[in-house]
Order: sequence, then structure tokens, then C-alpha cells
Amino acid sequence: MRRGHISLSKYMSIIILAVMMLISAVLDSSFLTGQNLVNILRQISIVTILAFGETMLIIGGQLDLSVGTNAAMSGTFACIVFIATGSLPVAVLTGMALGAVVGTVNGFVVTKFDAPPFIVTLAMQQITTGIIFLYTDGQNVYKIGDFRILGQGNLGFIPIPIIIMLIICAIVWMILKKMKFGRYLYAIGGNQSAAVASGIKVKSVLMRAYILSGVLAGLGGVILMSRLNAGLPASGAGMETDALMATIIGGTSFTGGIGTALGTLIGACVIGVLNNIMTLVGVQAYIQQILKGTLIICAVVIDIYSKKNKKVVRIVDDKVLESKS
Amino acid sequence: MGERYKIELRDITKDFSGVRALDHVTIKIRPGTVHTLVGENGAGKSTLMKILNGLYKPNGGSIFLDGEEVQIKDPIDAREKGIAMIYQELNYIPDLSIEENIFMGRFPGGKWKSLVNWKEVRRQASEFLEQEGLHYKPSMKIKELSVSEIQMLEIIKAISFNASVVIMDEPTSAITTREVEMLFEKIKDMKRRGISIIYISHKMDEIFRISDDITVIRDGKTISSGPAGNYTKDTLIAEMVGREIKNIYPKETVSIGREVLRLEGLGSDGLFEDVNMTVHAGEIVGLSGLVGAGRTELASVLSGHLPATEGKIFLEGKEISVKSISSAIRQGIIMLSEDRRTYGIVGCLSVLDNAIMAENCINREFFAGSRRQVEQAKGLIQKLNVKTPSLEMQIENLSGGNQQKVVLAKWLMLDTKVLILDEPTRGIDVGAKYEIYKIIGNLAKEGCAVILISSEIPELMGMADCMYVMCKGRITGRLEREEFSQELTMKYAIGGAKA
Repeated sequence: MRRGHISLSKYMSIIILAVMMLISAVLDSSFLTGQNLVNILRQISIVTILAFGETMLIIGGQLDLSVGTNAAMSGTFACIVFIATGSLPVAVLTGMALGAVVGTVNGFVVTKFDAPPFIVTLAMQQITTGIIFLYTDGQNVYKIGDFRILGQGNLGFIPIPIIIMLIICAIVWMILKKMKFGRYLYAIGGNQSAAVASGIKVKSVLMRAYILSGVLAGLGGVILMSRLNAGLPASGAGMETDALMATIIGGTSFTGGIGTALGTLIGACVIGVLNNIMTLVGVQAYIQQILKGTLIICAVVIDIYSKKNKKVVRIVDDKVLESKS
Repeated sequence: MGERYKIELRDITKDFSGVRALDHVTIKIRPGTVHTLVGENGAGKSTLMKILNGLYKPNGGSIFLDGEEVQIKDPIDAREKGIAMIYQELNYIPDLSIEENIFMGRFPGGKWKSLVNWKEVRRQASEFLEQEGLHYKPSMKIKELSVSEIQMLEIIKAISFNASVVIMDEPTSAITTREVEMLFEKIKDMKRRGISIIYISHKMDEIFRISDDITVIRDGKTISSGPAGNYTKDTLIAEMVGREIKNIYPKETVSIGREVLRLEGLGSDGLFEDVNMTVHAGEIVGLSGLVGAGRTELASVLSGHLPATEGKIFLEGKEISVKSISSAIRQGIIMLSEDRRTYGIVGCLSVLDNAIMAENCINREFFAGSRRQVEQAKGLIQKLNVKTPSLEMQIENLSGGNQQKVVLAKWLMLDTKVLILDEPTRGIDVGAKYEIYKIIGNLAKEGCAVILISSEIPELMGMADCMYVMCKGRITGRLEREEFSQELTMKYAIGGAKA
């Protein structure tokens, strides 16, 4: 049954963000400075870019667990290509193209064989990690020179990663809100059978979503390595978890059909603020993880609870009935 | 007074956040009878049954079981008091066996309470199935059974709980005519055992066939109650909708135009074969037959859901091939599926999103939701009289009839030449049915060729210009409107020779 799509409601993520910023401002006076806020945005930029791809897939009822390792693989290869060619555009495009290849394979296996995305992309996590470790022999790629401009440069006073993140956000917002491809994703995630019956070419739409997610993972990987000043094959692991958390806190339904680009951006900010304030007040890293996990569970529980007590509007002919459901 | 009632609901009142859903409803049910509850969707039938089943608490009124006032706390409590509900959507676990489904939640334990005593389960289940005259292996998986077999099992399960009141919510909406007979036999058997049955149905024929008493509910109030003999079809409908619908089928005379669709020897492997059929502009062609006769499959081939393996399809005189759903839609052949929830609507999206979904796949515009699209959708929503506060409303919140109208709007956004309607009024109340019929009539008038598939023969007799009857994947008869009769249709439907 495709009923009862559970997702955080529209304003939940904004409320959480506002409350957390308020608490943070009280806890540490250096939180609400321009420099610190820019720092937060720069810190979340890579995860957010990955999360946008994840958001599109999850709205379509899919999942990509390989975005983190895909980013590591594509980003490291991009470093290698940059060292060999010295051309930034070539390196960036290589990273994105490799990401696209991974996305294509994911999409192909899922749509061609009706394989469960969870298993396919989990396997892809292993494969991408294996490939990059095999190629680099587990060694980091250093001396990447000007490659670092993408991750460490500024345009005016705004760091380039933030600009890229906002551009991607605008593009994904338009895709989801305005473009047919985006609207098809909602229909497929909401009720795949009805989408098929309406003439939507489901497989091709999902294929494109996987490819897009791969491209964004590749781009995220390039920026990541650029920021780290080296190609680190082990660096991407676990980023898919943060991307998923941002997506869910941002109000995307895990069963598909519901979600927005702006929501995901806010969800990522929530995680960013949480990480930032915990570091500012000196919470130990392992405790940070426990708190992060706890926050997500609390958010979901509060939201489900508040929905249970919310009035549900039912329209029975011309009467509007409200009931507690 | 003086008569003994099995169960009595007295002055039941239920408010939902200030809106009165039930207003002093009273129903008295005699032991060993079938008491039918009729009313339009939203009249309050389900709310009432949910109160009886312990899902809702009434705000006022009282329930008497065998003359004693009782409180029903929750469904488990209801079950212990002998009240069982057979839901419209059956609740079973498909991958488990029959015996496990029967004993779910009350497995007999062995020495250790938490271990299942499988021997005992097997013994009791076999004994039980045998006693009820069902010849299944207890180890068979539920998913291997048909809908009606599962339904029968649900009923048996209810009896096994020693239920004395069984509520059946539209039990015949998904089963074949023959299976309906079996169900009615079972109901008679239950009556003999003294079990009271509360029956909910929209189908007039069966209401009059099996009811002992009838209660009509409208707008949350009891309108009338009494022996079935006190009612006729017309008075019942009038009391249900609160106004008189003179003719349930608003059939209009439309001049039949040129040929739109012609099928020659059409077949699809193992599903149906050698189908010859012609549909003209403005014509409503009925397609009758028992469930499984191949009607839905034929519609699926025409609309691109399934491939044809033999024969030819001609559209406006030209031979065409329908390779996919979108190819059918592009050529103007459209099917409204019988299963609205699965194939019709995307529940979590808005009315507007649902309405423009199919047109998006056809038009050449870059973005979805252009002003032209929105205007067109708005016009159709108005024209079809969809009751919704706004286009942004989640479609899930609309009533079944209004959802169906939005699905119709989705297809009318397109240039439709052939409209195939598969059970378009299933699970929709009388008032909304009437509106859907009017819409169908208007479409025909505008020159659309309509194929109407229905299991309700009266519906076809009321709306169609001519009727094809299918049996076991073949067309076994074709009737002109003048020859329409229930008997003849049934004869063809069970495979009688061509006249």
C-alpha cells in the first residue's frame, strides 16, 4: 500500500533550523558572526550537492548509497587527470563524467532488472571504493597545484563551493518544480503504476535521475579533493549518510512522492549548524555523532506525533469534514 | 417493543472537530438476519461501523448487546464480544499459510507459551476447513487463493472467533457472479446458525435479494428503517440521495457517426483471441462478461498496456499499431482503469498535478504546468463538477467519486478518440454514479467512441448502444439495444452458443 507517506512537514525543518540557530547564538557568541556562517555554508556545500541528487532519487522512490564513494573515486581520478593534463576544465569534466558512468550503471541495473536500489547501490559502494584503491594502491594523490582553486578559492568574499552549491540548488529547484522530468519523479514516487498508466516512461525518467545523481556526486568529489588539497581515496566514505540525513530532515518522504530542493538545503544547514556549534563549544567528535543521530530520531518522532494530532481535512461532497486520523 | 434484538445502537452521535458525522443514529438488528445499511459514500456508514468495531468512541448514545449495555473499547474487545468485521480491503498476510492466517494473534501454545504448537495449529485448521467444506491444504499460501476464496476464509475466521455479529463492507465489489452466489449461500448458512449480519452495499439487486431489514442513512442521520419488503428500488434510492433520481441512467439519443475503431481478429497470447468489433463516433459500446473473461485484457491491449499477438486494429480506417501506453495515448486511445487507487491517482500529489500528468507526456512544452495547462485543467474541473476547495488540494482528501472525475479530467485534457472505461463506477455512490454517467453521455455526444466495461449488467443496459459479451477470451455474443436482456447477456457470458 502506498498510503501514509511519512515525511517531515514543510515547516518542521525551518523550525528546527531556527531553534538550533537560536540555541547556538546563546551558547557561543562567535556563532552569529558573518565569518562563522560562511564557514558553515562552506562546510556543508559538498554534502548538499550530493544531497540534491539523493533528493531527486528519493522523490522518485529510489535511493543511492554510492554517492559518497562515487565522489571519492571520481574526485581522486579528477586529481590524477589534472596532474597529467594541467587543465582544470578537463579534470572537472572527467570527475563529473566518471560520476555519470557510476550513475548510469546504477540506473541500468535498477531499471533493466527491476533490482532493488538499496542492494544495487550498496554493491556499487564496494565497487567504486575497490576501483580507486586498486588504481592508487591506496595511496593519496598529492601535489595537485591549482586544482585547489575550486574548493579553496573565493569569488569576491564568497567561497566558490558555496556559489556552486547555490547554483545547483537553483537548477534542482527548477527541475523539481517546473520541469516535466521533475514532475514525473513525483508521480513515479507517489504511485508508480499510475505514472505508467499515464504514459510516463518510468524507466527512462529513473535512468536520468540516477545519472544526475552520479554527475552531482562526481562534482561533489572534485570540490572535496580540491578543498582537501589532495586526492584521498578514503575521504568520501560516510558522506552518503550525511546526504541522506540532510534530505530527510529537509522533508523528503522516504517512500517517495514528497520533497523539495529548498527543504534539502535547509536540512543540510541543520546538520551544518549542529556540527558547527558542537565543535565551537568543544563537544567530543564521537558524542557529536550520537547527538546527530538522536536529533534525527527526535525530529521524525515529533513530526509523526504532531501529524497524528493534526486535523485531517476530508471533503465529502460539498461538506468539509475534519477528523483526527 | 418486546422484540428481542441481537444488537442495538441507540442515538449514536459522533463529532469530528465540531462537524457532526453521526446524529442520533439508531439501528436495531434482530438475531439471525441480514440487516443492510445503505447510504451514499460519506453518509456515515463507515463511521458507524468503526464505532461498532471499537475503532472510534461515540460522543453520545449507547450500544446494547443481547439487551445489555456494553462499551466497546477497541477491535480486540469487539472480537471478544463476538463482533467481527470483514473489511472491504481484506487484511491478510499473503506470504503466510492459511493456517497461520487463521490463527494469527492467537496461536495455540505448547509447553512453553511463547512457542507455537504447530501440530495443534495444523489439527485445528484442518478440522476447521473440513467442517466448513473447504478443501484447501492448511499449509497453502494465502496468495495462491483468489479474492473470493480469501474472503470466504475471512468469514470463516470470523466464525471461528465465535462471532455472533458479522459486518460485511461491500463484500461483492471484487468477486465474480458465481462467487457472489457462494457468498450468499454462506450468508444463509450463517443466518441458520443465528449469526446477525450487517451488510453494506451499493448494489440494488443484491440488497433486495438478501436483506431482511434495511436502514437508510443520509448526512449522518437515520432516514428510515424497516423490513426490506417496505422498500422498492426507487424509494430506496430517493431516500438515499434525498431527491428523486427519475432514471439512474441518463441515456441520451446521439446520432451515431463514422467508424472510429475496428478490430479484426485481434488476439493476445493466452488472454483472448479472434475479437472482431466496431465502434463508431458517438457510440457507447458495452462490454460484458464475467470476471476473467478477457475484457480488461482486451482493453489493456488497445491502450498499450499489453502487446497484441494477432489481428489488426484500425483507427479511423487506417491500420495502426499500439506499441506502448504512450503510443496509445498519442493516437487518442485512452483507458480509465478499474483500479483507481493503483492506476488512476497519485494520492500524495495535488488535483492539478494529477490532472496534467498525462498531457505532460504529450505536449511539446518545455516546462510542466504552463498557464494554458492550468487554465484547461481548471475548466475541466469545473465542467466535471469536481468538488474540491482548490486545485492545490491533495487528491487523497477527495471522495472516491471526485477522485474518479479528476482521473477523467486527466484524460479529457488530451484529444481523445476512443475512451475505454473499465468499471468506471466501482465503489462510487449513486449520486456520483449518475454524474459519471452524464459525463460519459456528453463525451459520446461530442463524438467520442466509448467502450464501457462493466460487471453490472443493468449499467450496460442503461448506457450502451450495443453490447458485446465475452467468455473465456472470446466474443460470444453481440446484442443491439433493442435485444438487451439480463438473461441473454448471462447466457452468452457463461459461454452459450451464438444466437
